[in-house]
Amino acid sequence: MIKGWKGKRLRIDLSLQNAWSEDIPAADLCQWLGGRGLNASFFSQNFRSPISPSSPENPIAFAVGPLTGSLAPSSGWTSIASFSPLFDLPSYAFTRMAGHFGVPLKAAGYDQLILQGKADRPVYLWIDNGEVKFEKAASLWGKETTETTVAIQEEKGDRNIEVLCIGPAGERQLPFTNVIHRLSWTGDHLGLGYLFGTKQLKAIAIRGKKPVTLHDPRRILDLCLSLKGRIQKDQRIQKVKEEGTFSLLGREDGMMIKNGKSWLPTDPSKQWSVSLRTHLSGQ
Amino acid sequence: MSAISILPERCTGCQSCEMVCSLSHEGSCSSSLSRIRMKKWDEISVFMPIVCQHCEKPPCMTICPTGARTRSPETNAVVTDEKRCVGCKSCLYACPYNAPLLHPNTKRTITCDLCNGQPLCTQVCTTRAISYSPEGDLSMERKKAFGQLFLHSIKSR
Repeated sequence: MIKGWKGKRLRIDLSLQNAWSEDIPAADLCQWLGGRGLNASFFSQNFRSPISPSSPENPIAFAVGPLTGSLAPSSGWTSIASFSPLFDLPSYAFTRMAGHFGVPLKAAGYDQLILQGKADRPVYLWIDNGEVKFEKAASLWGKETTETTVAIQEEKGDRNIEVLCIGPAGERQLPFTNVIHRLSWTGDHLGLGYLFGTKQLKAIAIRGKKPVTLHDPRRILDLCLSLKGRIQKDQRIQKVKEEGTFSLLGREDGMMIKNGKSWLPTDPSKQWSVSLRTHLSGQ
Repeated sequence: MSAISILPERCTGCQSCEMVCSLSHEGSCSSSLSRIRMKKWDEISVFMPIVCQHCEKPPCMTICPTGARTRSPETNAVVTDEKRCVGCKSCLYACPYNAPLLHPNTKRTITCDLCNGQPLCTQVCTTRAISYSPEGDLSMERKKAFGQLFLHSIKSR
C-alpha cells in the first residue's frame, strides 16, 4: 500500500442494501493523483456515454486525495462527481466540498465512496470505522439539515460524527439543491440534493478512527509548519480573515482574482453576472 | 505554573491541533491518537479543544495507584510514565476535563506533554484559540480578548 492512501474503494448499492469494498490498483492511484482524477477514471472506465441523472445506476462518487486527513493545509477537500441534472443534456460534472467529510472517510479506511441504486424507502448511511449500515430515515424525512445533523448525532450518541445531509428541497428533488455538511459546507454546482433525493438517501453519517500513515512524518511535519507560517503572514489571508471570502472580489490593491468571471454564476455554464461583480467587495 | 490556555470562542473547529499532535507524537494523523481533542456542537457552531491543564493539585496524580502520573521537572507538565502505567483508567474518571486518553494500541494513558516547552498546537492554530505561556499570568490571553471586546464596543458607539 502506498502511504497516504488507503487503496480501497467503498461501493454501495442502495437498491439491494449491499456494501462491499474494492481494491484500487496502485498504478491508478499514482496516475490519477487526487480525488478528482480518481472519480474521473472511475466514470471513464464504467460509462461510455452519460446516462440520465435520475436513473438508479447514476453513481455519486466521493473521493479524497493523498494528503487528506494529514496536517497539510487545505487538504480537507472532498471531490464529488456524478451525472448532473443541471444541464440540458446529461453530462459529467464534478465539484469539491470543503469541511470535514473527507477526513473521516479516509480514517474509515477508504479513498473513494461510490453510491449507486435507489432505496425503496428513505434511508441514511451509517459508516462506522469502515462498517456500513443502512438505517431507516422515516423519522428524519422532512426535517431540515440542522435538525437532521443533530438527530443523527444524538441517535448515535456521539457529537463528533460528521453528517452530510439534504433538506426538504432535496427530498422534493429540486435540481439546484445542495447537500449540507456541518451547517455551512456545501457540495454545490452539481445538483447533489436532487441526486440524493432520487436515491431516497437522506444523509451519510461517518466516523473514522484509523490513523492516516505518511511516508516521512518528520519531514511532512516540518513542511506543514513552515507552510502554515507562510500562509499566516500572507496579506490576502489576513484580508480574507477580516472580511471573508468576498474580499477576494474587491478591486483595490490588486487583490482581485483574475478571470473572476465564473465566480457569480446565475445559470450554470451559461450566464455570469459580470456587471454585479464590480459592485461587490468584502467591506 | 504552565498550561495551555484555550479560548473556545475563537475556535473554528478545524482540528489542525489534533493532526499536528498525533503527527508529532505518533507519526500518523488521527483524532483518536491526539492528546488534544476537539468537542463540537454543530447547531450552535461551538467548538472546544480539550487538553490537560497540568493542574496545581492534579487529581490524576493523587488517584493513580501505581504512581505513573508524575510532574516533569523541565516543563512542569504532568506526564505518564509508560512503564508504570497499567491502563486502569482511574485518571480518566478523576480528571475534571476528562483530558487523559487511552492509547488505542498500547492501552496506556496519554496526555499533553507540552512538546518539551514548545507546544505545536499553539503554532498551527490560525485563530490563536490555543496559546501557551510558560511563565507569567495564564489568564492574560483571556484578559486581552476581553479588553479587545471592550475596545471594539467603545469604538463602535
